[in-house]
Amino acid sequence: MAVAPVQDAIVESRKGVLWELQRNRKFTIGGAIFLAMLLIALISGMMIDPDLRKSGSFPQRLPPGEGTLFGTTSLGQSVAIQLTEAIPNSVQVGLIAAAVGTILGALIGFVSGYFGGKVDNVLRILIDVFLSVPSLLFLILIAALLRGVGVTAMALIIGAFAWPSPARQVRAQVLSLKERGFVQVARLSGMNGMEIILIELMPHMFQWLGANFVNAFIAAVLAESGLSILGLGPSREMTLGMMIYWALNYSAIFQNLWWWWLAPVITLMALFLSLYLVHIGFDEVSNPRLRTEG
Amino acid sequence: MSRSRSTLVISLLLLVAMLITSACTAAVPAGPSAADMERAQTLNIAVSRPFADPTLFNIYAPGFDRSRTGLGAMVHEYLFYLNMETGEFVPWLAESYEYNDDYTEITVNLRDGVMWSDGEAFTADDIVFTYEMLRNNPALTWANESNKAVANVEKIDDLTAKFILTEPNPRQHLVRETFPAVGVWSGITIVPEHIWRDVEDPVTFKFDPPIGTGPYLLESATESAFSYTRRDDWWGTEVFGVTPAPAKVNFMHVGPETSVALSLSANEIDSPAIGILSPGAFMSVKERNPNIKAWTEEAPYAWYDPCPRALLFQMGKPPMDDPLVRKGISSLIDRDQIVALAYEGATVVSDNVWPEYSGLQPYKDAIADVIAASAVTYNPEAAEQYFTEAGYAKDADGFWAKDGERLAPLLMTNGDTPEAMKVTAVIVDQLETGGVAVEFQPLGGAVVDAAILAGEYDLYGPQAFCPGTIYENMELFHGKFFVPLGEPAPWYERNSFRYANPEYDAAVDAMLVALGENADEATLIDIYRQAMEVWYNDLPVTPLNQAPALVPFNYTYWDGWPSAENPWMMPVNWWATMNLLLTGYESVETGEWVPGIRAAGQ
Amino acid sequence: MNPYIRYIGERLILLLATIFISMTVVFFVPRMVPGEPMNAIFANMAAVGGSMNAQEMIVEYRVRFGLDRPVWVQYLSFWRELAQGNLGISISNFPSEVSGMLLSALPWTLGLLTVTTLISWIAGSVIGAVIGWRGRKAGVARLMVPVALVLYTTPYYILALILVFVFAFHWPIFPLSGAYSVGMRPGLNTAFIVDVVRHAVLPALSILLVSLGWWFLSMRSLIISLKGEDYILNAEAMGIKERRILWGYAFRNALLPQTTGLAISLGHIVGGALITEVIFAYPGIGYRIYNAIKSLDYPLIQGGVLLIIISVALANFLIDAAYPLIDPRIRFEGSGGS
Repeated sequence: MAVAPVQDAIVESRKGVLWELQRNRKFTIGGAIFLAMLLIALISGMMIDPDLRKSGSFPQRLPPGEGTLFGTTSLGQSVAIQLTEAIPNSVQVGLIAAAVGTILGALIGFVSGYFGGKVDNVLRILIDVFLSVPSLLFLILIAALLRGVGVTAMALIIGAFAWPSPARQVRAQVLSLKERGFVQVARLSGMNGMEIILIELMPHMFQWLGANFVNAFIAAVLAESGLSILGLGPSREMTLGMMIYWALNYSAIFQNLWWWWLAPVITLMALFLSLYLVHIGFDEVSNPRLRTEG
Repeated sequence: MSRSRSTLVISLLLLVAMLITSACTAAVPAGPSAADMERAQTLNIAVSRPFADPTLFNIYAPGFDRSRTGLGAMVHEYLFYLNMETGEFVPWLAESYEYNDDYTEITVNLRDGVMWSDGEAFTADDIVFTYEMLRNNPALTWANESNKAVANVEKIDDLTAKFILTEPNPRQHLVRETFPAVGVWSGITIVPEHIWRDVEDPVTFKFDPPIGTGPYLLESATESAFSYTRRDDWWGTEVFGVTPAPAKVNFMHVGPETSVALSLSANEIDSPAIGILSPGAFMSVKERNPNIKAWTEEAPYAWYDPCPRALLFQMGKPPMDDPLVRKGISSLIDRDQIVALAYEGATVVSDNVWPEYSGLQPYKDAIADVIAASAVTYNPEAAEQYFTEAGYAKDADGFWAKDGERLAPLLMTNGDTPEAMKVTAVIVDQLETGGVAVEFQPLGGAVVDAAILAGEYDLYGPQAFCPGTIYENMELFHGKFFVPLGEPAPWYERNSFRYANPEYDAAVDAMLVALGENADEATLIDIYRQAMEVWYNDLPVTPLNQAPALVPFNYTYWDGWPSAENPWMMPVNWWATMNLLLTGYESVETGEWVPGIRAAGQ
Repeated sequence: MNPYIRYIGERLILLLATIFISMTVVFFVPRMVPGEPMNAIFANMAAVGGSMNAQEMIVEYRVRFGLDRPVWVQYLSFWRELAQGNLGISISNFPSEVSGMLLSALPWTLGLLTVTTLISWIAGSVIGAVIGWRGRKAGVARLMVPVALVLYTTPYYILALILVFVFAFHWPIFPLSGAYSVGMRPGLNTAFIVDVVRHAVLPALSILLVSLGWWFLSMRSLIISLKGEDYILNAEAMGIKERRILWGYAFRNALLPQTTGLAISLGHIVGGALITEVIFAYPGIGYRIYNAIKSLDYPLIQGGVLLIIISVALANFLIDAAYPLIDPRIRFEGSGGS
């Protein structure tokens, strides 16, 4: 009976949010940079002859400008061409892992915190087990079991171990929120658990989810590069982490091949900063007080 | 709002600029560091990993780090050393050895005056005890091999010991796993009986402090450094009249490649162990510090390790059980490109699995025509012929296929070693270009051993073939090491590729007989040629390149290092033979003392 | 019964259950990977060319480690040994004892990471709160936001290598690597302590730069979101001093999630900082556990992960115990019945 008006309200507020978002310059600029990087990489990646990706396609160790846009590696590959493959792959890792981690974490944290009791106890043990057993153990062992992972598998593995921390935070937030007046009122007025979660608590957590998603994206891409540097990366596909792995394997920093290692590092930062802008913009829209002061 | 964005952009630019300048300014050479007295008398060797347990000094304990700690070179000594550079078999704790007529006994005459570092005399009793201990404790390192080869050791008198072998072997004195003479790595190490006889379980014994006969004492050991100090009372000083130049020697872990390169540039270390510096990093070090030199002044810089690299074919199952497919794959591999891209020019290609040592040249010359007719050089047209002859045709995407199934061999490699990752990266691309849809699987840790020994690969590489002597490397392909697919093979290069050809085995067996009869070189070369004709026709593995041992030496504090110009010794700091780098040795040929390294400027 | 004590009792049971389940997972999961841990012993021998017939010795060592018995017997024996405080012997470093290998590395890990974690947490939280609260009024200090973001998003490996390059090589102010100079004898004297601190500066700095950025950003966004809360607005309307609202209300509330994060971090300290240890050749527990996992060294994995599990579980427990004290709005579950 309360369903229809609630839906209306959501639709209306969504319209509003979208309208507000496209007016927010931080959001639009951040989003534009992010999409531009992704699209340029994707489109030029499709136009490039796949044979040019192979080792030895270019002279070794060329600085930028001398024949290639961003220089070449010791393996005789073009850094620019590698980026066209690495950016979409890394973004894919970030998106999948962040989505899996955030959604799983929010769901489990919510249920655990809201229902309490036995459900909470079981979920808490689950969270704590995942939090305390080092994920590196699983990552190395899973990589060993799978005998080398691809980009998607890597993303799923990272995501599967990214949920306990958000779950714990969500649980703590829910614990704190549910003692607040408005939830108590809702409960007294006869709403059941799910309704309370959806209608009253979700909006409060929405902002947090957005922030966590951006953080989880950054963390996942960094985790991918960390694992790649340790030699556990997707060795047949190029990601920003694998670019760094190869640069370090050929001691590019010491050899002063700055274009090689700096390209993936700067790309990582640009990706992260653009996402952060999106995040700030999103925050400002969902929390109008920030716009005037933040 | 616009201001906030511009501050953001500006600060980002600033940071990037910082990163770039840090990268560029670093190219400016650093001045020589303050050479305090202590540093000038110390020799610092950089190793590739921290030491797992700095309280364990038992060279026979499986977990002891034999190749990094330096214990085998500094504290322990061996009866003989093999200088592979000059071919000399240098008597050290012993003065001589002789076989009986049928090569079933070796009598060793020990040197008089050799003392353990705690003052006890080194005698034949120690040798007898060591072999008894190996027999009673088969879990010790080398015990397995030693017990199979040596039946017993008898003491004739304090300075004479007789080794009784289980079967005739004219090459027993060269097998370090069964006889206390060392050319590469370390081997059977004589332990002091007066300490070890009271040990309950030699397998778990820590041997703290380690007692040896060597010129140095272990002073301290931590996770990051094993430090040795020179003994004043080393027996060799009295007997040979020499004292090694460095007062202290440290085997230390300074971090990953970049840190090692930086410490070498800053004169903090004198020589890194093998496999740490890539050729590119080495050349950058040379630019920063002209006192750093390796084996040769020009490319390829590296000394050739006795273990050339090859790619293994799994012959126990299709598709690599077909020699035509093996030859097709082999013809698609451009070894020059591997050397250029993966090794950055610091080695040379190889068309067989023996090192480029001058002593082996007659053997190589004798099979030049066999090699020329074989499939071990890059030749895409030949590859097409091989694949077509094997019944393959190219499919719509340009990949070789037979009966609707693509030729998609599984290429495994050890993902833990940068060298393997670089080489396979190039090979995968070359095979794909040639129309082979190769699948790539880098494995690491405990998983790789099990998979390779069970033969789960179609292709595996790069694999080292050691120890690089004619007979020993021939023997690696002997059918006696064959085990069926699925069961663990004895080891990687010991026939995990499942090769068995009676014709080849016969040639290897004939070689051993000929060696026992002290046959002349022409006979040996003849047998070698017979074996190689079979081998290149079967092509159980395909040779890739010589193994570069890029071991730079720092001439700032120490001089007299071996080099291509003055090749008096192997330029190796991770084998027990490093002892001789410091002390020098009496030349077997001239009888004169070849001096070890000396302080720079002296 | 006092509800708080009952609450603590329940948490304790959860703590023990977590440790038990985690250790069970850690016992079984590595054994499911098809690999032969004994090969570590022979890879070690083979690296120096030993063992032509490894298989015979593998059987012998499997017996020594009890791996020839059924898994459930091994599992029971694992708990029995653990109850007696015995962590067993490392396979890949046989015959080194797991407890000795872990204990020798632990002080370095704890020393370096506890100090850096606390400093970065305190500094990050305070700066984040101030800048988040002041918002646009923070002026130049707001540069801290992009700086923190860049630091936090630089791959740690690269950042650490650049620090080494700049401050240990180009300007050789600090030592390149290690925990103390080679040849120095550990002892409680000034020379040694100064040496240790000098060696710790770069590793500590690298960790600080990265984690400070993280704490800063998370505190800042927490404070910003709290600024919109009713009770803050109320407090402002009531004319309470800004400083008091920030520290007394907003900061205190933001501390709850921030402290949760700290507890998790502190718990994981025992796991070491793998890449820091690798780059700075700093002795520590991370590299040992990493190698143990790679070589399927069951006893060393179990011992190392047990340390981590206990400390993380303990940290979580302490946080749980402190929750009701920090945030009195939380009722004790189990006592209240929601």
